[in-house]
Amino acid sequence: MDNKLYNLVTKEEKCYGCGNCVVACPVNAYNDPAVAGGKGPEQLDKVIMCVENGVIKILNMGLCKGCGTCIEECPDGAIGLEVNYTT
Amino acid sequence: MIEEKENIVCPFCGCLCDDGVVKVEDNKIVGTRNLCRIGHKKFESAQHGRAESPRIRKNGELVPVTLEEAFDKAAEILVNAERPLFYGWSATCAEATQVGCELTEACRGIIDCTATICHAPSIEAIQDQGAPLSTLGEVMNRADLILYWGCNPMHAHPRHMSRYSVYPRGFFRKRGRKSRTIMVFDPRRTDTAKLADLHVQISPASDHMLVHTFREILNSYDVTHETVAGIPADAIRETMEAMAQHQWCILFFGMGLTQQMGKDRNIDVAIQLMHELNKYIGIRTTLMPMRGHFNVAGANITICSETGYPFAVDFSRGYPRYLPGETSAMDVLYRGEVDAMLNIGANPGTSFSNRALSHMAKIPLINIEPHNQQLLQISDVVFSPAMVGIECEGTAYRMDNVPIKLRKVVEPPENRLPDVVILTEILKRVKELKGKGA
Amino acid sequence: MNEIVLKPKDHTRISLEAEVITPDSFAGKSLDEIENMMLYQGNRSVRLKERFDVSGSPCDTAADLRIIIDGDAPRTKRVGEKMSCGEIVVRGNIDMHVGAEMTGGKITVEGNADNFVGREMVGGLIHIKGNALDYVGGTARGKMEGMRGGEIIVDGDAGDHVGNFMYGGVIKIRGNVGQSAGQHMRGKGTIIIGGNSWSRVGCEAADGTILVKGKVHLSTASLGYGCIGQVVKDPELGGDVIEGEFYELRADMGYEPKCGIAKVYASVGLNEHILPGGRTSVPRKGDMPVNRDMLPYLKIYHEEMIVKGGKK
Ligand code: SF4
Ligand code: SF4
Repeated sequence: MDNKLYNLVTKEEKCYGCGNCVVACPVNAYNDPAVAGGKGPEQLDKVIMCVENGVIKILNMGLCKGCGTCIEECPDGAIGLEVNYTT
Repeated sequence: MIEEKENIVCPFCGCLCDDGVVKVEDNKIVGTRNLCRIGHKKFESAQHGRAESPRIRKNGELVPVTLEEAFDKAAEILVNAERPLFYGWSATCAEATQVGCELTEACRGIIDCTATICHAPSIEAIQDQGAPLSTLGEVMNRADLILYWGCNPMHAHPRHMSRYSVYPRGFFRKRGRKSRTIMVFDPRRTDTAKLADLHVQISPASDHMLVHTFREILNSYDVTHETVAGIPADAIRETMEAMAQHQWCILFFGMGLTQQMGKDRNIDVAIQLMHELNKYIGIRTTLMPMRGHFNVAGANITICSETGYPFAVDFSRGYPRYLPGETSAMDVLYRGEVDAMLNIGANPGTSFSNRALSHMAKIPLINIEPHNQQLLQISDVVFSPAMVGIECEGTAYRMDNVPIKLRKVVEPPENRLPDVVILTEILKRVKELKGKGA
Repeated sequence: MNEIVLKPKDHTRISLEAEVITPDSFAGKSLDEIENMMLYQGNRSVRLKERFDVSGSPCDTAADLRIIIDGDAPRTKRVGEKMSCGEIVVRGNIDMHVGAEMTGGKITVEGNADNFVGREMVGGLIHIKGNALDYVGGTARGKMEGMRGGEIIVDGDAGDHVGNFMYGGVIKIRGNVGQSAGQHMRGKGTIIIGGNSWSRVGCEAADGTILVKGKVHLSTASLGYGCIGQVVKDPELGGDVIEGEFYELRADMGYEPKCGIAKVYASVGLNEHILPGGRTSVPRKGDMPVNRDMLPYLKIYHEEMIVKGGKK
């Protein structure tokens, strides 16, 4: 997982837990219909991230294709995309 | 063993998110999922810092007493009062408000909810103008233009955008955020504004003027001034044109519109704009106040269904009367008329004016509040109830006036009764005392 | 004219509801009967003699009766409510709803009055020699019909929403007024403002006339932003000819149900800022009219509170 080209990094202390990133993410929406309709994820093994204890938590980094939708929808920069050119 | 309770409703803000997961271990809340930061904090801190219950002030100190003694004392205070005020009702369930209305009628007092210092102007404007309303489900499925005016949901209702309005994919808005246009009208560059397609940064306290200018453009009058409300006239025309490209519009408005100069008149004119958008352009337009507390909409609805008026109802002559400015909580406290007060599900300690608070310090004050709050220092009878939505069940109304049943997650601590039971016991004693007097 | 004098005794904090203090209900009653009339206070009721010393000469016809409240009655509401004839004189301040829904007769208040002076009045004359607070000639909440006839004169300033939902009659304010004067005017009413008017004059008004001799603060776009009509000289309003030159402006761009066009007259000398291309001015501090603490009696209560305040 670590040697992927794209990596999501989170800053919990900045996160509101709004879930914008969770719902906006096309992978989450495709894999879990609940997320597509705005609810919290119901199938935790199929989504990239969810909000846990009020802050964002990455669950399955492997599913992320690096489209960057989530980082656009975070007003606070609490989620970011890291690109690993070296590997 | 950590048990995950699913589909828990969050009793914090008017969004009433009903998809929460709360993790419970040995009757202790250890974590949540899906709830936002504020909602999580509400559950997490629910079991800490609870006020001792029940207590009565004797010789200037709050001392623990039995429940019976506290009920008796509360009833005695209320029966002896000439103009008791029953305030709060926003952080409790509709059932409790129902009993509260009965208690107010029995004591011939005034019942008022926290709307009186937040969204009462919206209600007043709706009374004057009528209003096209909708539910959040409709917004999700239909809205392609979302206006946030004078509100900042990213901070106050964090999941509002992701759960109900902007991000979810709806029946007619299949691509979620990409199917919608977001406009934010706010003097500040808020976090909501950062997510918007258009942020109209108006100068403070000139919203009314801007709404009016939109109306002028719709009514084909000329905008003859170069800038209005700090916005160039051309930009206003373009904004109007952009708005007109859509099919279904919703205006979410908050305290920025209701509690600035003009109050209800701002909403008044906004509703007028909605009518005209419907009439002249054919955009289906509705509006929705962003209600704060989880059940402040419910307080209005319950008081309205019980008494006929939504807030500030005065029973002093036995029948309900309503006149904000005369019978609203702030006004009677400001004039020093109240001679006993019951506070439930609200924290006037942080929201009332100094003058109202200094009067509250001088009158007997019954406080039904689970946590240690500022108001305890001036309360005379304190009950610490079970928390609605966490330790007992109840009904609450979402900001679009949809009733939602709150769930019980953990057992309440010892001696903590639900609000409904506390109020019913007080009501029983008030009726007994009144019966004796007659 | 027969006079009945009510001398207020001690002030109470909880307002009295004294809708019985009208010539109509005093007429034909002996002093003893008047003394035993019921007033409401909070959830109790008191007899009139507990709050007022009653003296004077009663009479049978209300039209010949003058009631004098001889002193300050800042916590007595609804004096003269629904009165149809006779006269009431208040030698001091008075609380809300003075002359509400009155149909005739005359009320003179020598001090200040609280909110809702002449609410929904139909006829008669109310003269406030001090200041009046909000909703002069307005409506109760949720009602759509305000003042329909009669005349209100305020010698001092008035608060917000003067003539809210006004359908007729005349309101004359000698001083400044707060915001939203004449908002939602729906009929042929007339408001004449001697001083300045704070923002939103005539907003959403459908009919009627508002004249401002001072400055109109431009916080509503509809004034001046739209059409400047014409300059009118010495218009005749409310039975008087008002000297001077005034811009004739449209108050609002029409309203449902459309029943006319409300007009605002603003004096030419002081109002260049509303001409097309003029700057939209934000009200300055010195121009602002009354606020709550302006009323002397409210101040008294305020000070008393500070002195007696603190720990219970
Ligand atoms: S990371 Fe940003 S978008 Fe995601 S939940 Fe946190 S604040 Fe919201
Ligand atoms: S948005 Fe409101 S209701 Fe939803 S989880 Fe957050 S605080 Fe609770």
